[in-house]
Amino acid sequence: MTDLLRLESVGKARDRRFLFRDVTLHLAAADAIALVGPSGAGKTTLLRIVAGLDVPDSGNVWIDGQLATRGATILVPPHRRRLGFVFQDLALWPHMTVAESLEFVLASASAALSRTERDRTIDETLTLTRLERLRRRYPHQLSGGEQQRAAFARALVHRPTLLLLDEPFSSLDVDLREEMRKTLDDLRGTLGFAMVFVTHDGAEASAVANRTFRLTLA
Amino acid sequence: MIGATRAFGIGLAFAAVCGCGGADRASREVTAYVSADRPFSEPVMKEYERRSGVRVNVVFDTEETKSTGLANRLLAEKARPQADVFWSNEPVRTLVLKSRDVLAVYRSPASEGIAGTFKDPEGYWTGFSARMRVIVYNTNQIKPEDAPQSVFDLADSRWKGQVAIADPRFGSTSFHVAALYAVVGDARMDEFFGKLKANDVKVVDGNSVVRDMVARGEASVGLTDTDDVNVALEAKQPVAMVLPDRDGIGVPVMPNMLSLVANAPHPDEAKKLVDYLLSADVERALAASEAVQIPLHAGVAGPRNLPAIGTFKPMTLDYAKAASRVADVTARLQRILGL
Amino acid sequence: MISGRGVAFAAAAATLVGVAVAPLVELVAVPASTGRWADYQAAFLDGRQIRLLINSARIAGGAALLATAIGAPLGFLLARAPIRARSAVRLGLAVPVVIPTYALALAWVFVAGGAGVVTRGFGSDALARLTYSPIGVVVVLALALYPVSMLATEAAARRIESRLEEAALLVAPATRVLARITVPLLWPSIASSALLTFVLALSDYAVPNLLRQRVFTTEVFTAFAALYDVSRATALALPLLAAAAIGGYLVASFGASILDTGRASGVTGVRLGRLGPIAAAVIALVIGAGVALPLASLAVEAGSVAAIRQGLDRSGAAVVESLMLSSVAATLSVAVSLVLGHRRARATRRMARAVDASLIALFAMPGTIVGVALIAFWNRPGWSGGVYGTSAMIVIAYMARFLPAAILVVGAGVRRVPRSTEEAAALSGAGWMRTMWHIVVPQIRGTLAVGWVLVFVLAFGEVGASILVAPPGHAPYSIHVLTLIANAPSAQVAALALVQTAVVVCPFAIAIAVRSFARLD
Repeated sequence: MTDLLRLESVGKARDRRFLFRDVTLHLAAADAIALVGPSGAGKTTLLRIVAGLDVPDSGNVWIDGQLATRGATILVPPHRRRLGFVFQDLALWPHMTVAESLEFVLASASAALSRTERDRTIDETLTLTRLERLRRRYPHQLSGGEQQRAAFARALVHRPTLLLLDEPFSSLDVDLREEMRKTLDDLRGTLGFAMVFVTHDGAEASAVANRTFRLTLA
Repeated sequence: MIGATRAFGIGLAFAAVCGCGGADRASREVTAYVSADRPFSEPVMKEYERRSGVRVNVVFDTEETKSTGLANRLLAEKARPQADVFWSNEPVRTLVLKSRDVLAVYRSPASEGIAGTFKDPEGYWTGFSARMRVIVYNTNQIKPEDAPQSVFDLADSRWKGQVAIADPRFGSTSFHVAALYAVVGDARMDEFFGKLKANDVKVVDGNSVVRDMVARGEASVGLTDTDDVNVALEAKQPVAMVLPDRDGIGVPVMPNMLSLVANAPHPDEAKKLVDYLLSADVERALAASEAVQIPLHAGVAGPRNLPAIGTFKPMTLDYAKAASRVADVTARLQRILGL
Repeated sequence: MISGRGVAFAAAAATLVGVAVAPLVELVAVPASTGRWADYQAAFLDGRQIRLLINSARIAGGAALLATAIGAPLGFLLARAPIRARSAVRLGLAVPVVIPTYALALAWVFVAGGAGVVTRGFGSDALARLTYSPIGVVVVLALALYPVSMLATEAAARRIESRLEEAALLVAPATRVLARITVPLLWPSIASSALLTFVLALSDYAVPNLLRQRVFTTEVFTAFAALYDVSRATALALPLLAAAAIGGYLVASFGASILDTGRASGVTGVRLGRLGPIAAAVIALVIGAGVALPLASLAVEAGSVAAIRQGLDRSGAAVVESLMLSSVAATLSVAVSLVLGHRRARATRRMARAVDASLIALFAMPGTIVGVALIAFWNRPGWSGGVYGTSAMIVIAYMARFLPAAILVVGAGVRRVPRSTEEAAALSGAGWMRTMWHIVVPQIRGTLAVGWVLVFVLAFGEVGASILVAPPGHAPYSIHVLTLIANAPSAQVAALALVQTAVVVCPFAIAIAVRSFARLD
């Protein structure tokens, strides 16, 4: 079976020294891997390389059997990789309501969907993330947990097969973190996506993923 | 951080240095506000400074359409005047200031040789070194025998789209139109300007612009001052001038006007400066300069390109009456010319 | 207990009140107290005034739209496109804002007026008719003011958090991201700069006057220069003030910090790598048509290097005086605006809107009225009379006009400083002054520099207020030029305008060159 994600000898340098080198990993469908390591090890950078938002200095990135990045050349642009991404600071669009942001993603990523199908998908996503009553709210009108769920909703509305998460719970308190982990679990169970989860917390890594990949300082 | 501190300290030091710009009122000095063109008036002031040893502080004026000018400054400073003498290059400003009690009476002995027409009967101002309002025309486009001889000729349809005048609300043109209304009467002047408007007259922002337009051929004829035309003549541009209405209502004569400022800080020095400026020497110098101003003292040689004051018919004019018409005429012309 | 903060605020507020607010309030209030309401009634109920105001608003609106259409894309290109020598290009594009508007209008007359170069080339009057029309005024004002929109848009584009665009790039191509994410995030800044341009265009007198269009500011000017009626002139300025205040309130309501020069963290989202050549072509077109052409026409009209050199020779002392006085005004303005801008940045939203509206209204006040107000306020017996009659009055005139703008700029910069950094300093035992000097100022160094440059450039070209208060023997360069050109040939006018532009632009060009050279070392 083809790996959903495969990194081959990926390396990246910064300020004339290697962040990481020779990173090789693979991820099957519905798999979940936690990317762990100390601060400055390059975890976020590696995630951005997978998403196509950054380029490696060496190595290849394969996504769903397709060579997406070869060396420093992006062969498949980010918007065609059919990924979901939850940023560390969430990066919610301040000028769009929750529903509008989902509408934007679906219209961009799944242009073939009819209006009815789009609305249904949005409704489903809002239900899954318990945001039905908050669809018309702007980000600044949401609580911390609600913003987190809105970020999940946006990352998943177009039903990507791979979700990338960059320390999504780092700013949450213990209770909320627990709640969000459960939410993530439920979403994975329902939608069946694979996941690369960046964290510096070893315990969290074990809780969310079935495998751990450790990046160390080069 | 250190750089910012240093810059700030230097800035404060500059601020302290700025405080040293004020006049020392104890020493011999006099302050003049001068609305005559700086290139002509500055040398005159410097010469007085050299001769008398008195420090002359001069504030020069700008073209009327570029800023509000010294008359407004004098009005604003009325409660605590800074100026001792006001030298205006046209009558309206001076007469407005007289009407607002900004000026003081002084009958200078140096004004002896100047005709009474050019002196205020009440002694608030004295005229000297005059300019005239003239018709300027482009010599490449118009032969001398075809040039208009009267201001009223400009309303003729053959000059359609070819006439330029400075904005009649400001400066010497405002004096000229107010004088015409005072002498000729409202009905005839309203009709004249109505015809000018129908003739697509170009209203521009200054006499020098009129001169430049005529010199370039953008307009064939225009109304301007003698010193403006002289600049073009000296530059060998294709222009010539006509003294308008010399056989009719007379040529408008605009003397410079000199006045003492009421409650001036240095009244004695002010009187001496006035005496000097009204002297034949100064008139001679201004006649010989690019100002080409016509002496009003009898017997003083005038500019070579222009006739002496006694050789043509000047407009018989009560300057005070003309000045009093300015506000009303401005409103009329705004309406008639669509300003 | 008297705190350092209280003392600093009192001193700064007293400065603003003393130089800018109190003189104007007194000027407006005096007619009220003497019962000259007839002036105000006559000013506002005249059908002609209303027609002129509408004409002014139309022209100013057109100028603002065109300036934004030119400036906003340029600003975005400056922020995102790969441009070599970006600082130099930015300076080149910003040059029109340094040239006095009357000189810019004059330059365009030399190009496209009745006897203009292009007019003569076409052999037709059509271009000249267009020049001397409302369209001509709109175009010239837009070419003078587009740098406002350009600089505001560039600053806003740099402030957008890259992750907002990256989150969209994951699902949409760059063009869609630009249209649906980037532009909506830029929109408040673009709209705010358009409003500011509208206010500046509405207050301009030189361009409409030179191009023979009847606008409302002419009424103010006529009241002064033709009728010597200060009360009427002040009354006529009130609609302009009102328009500026409303514009300022709307600008503040957008919540956009158009004067914020801070940058976002992280790499920039949508980059315009492939648009590099197009960006270069657009920039070349604007610099060519909007900057080089008018400067060239001034140079041609000046006629010779000798004429320009002669202009400089006669003006050496005035240039030095201008540089000094403008620098002093800029330095003092930055010091005062540090205190007042900080207070404004930490104010409630409602208070901030009111403050911004007032500051923009002050900024839009015609210079002549400011000058008359300063004379009435400062020229009295006592200590203020001692100040009046010194060149300090020129500095005061500059600050009266441009301190409000400096406060807006610095306030926008302070808003980006996290309050927590000041709170942490306070908890460490630092007093207010120490916190300001060691915590706030280092974080807004760039902003303070921008504020300084803004006041310096504007002060250098200021004439409306300073000409009324400059003591004898002290004529800054801009006044010096105007006193010379009254009867001067157009060649001399052109030469002096070129010198004025060069004097302001050259120091920045040298600074940029030095910085570039230092980086290469």
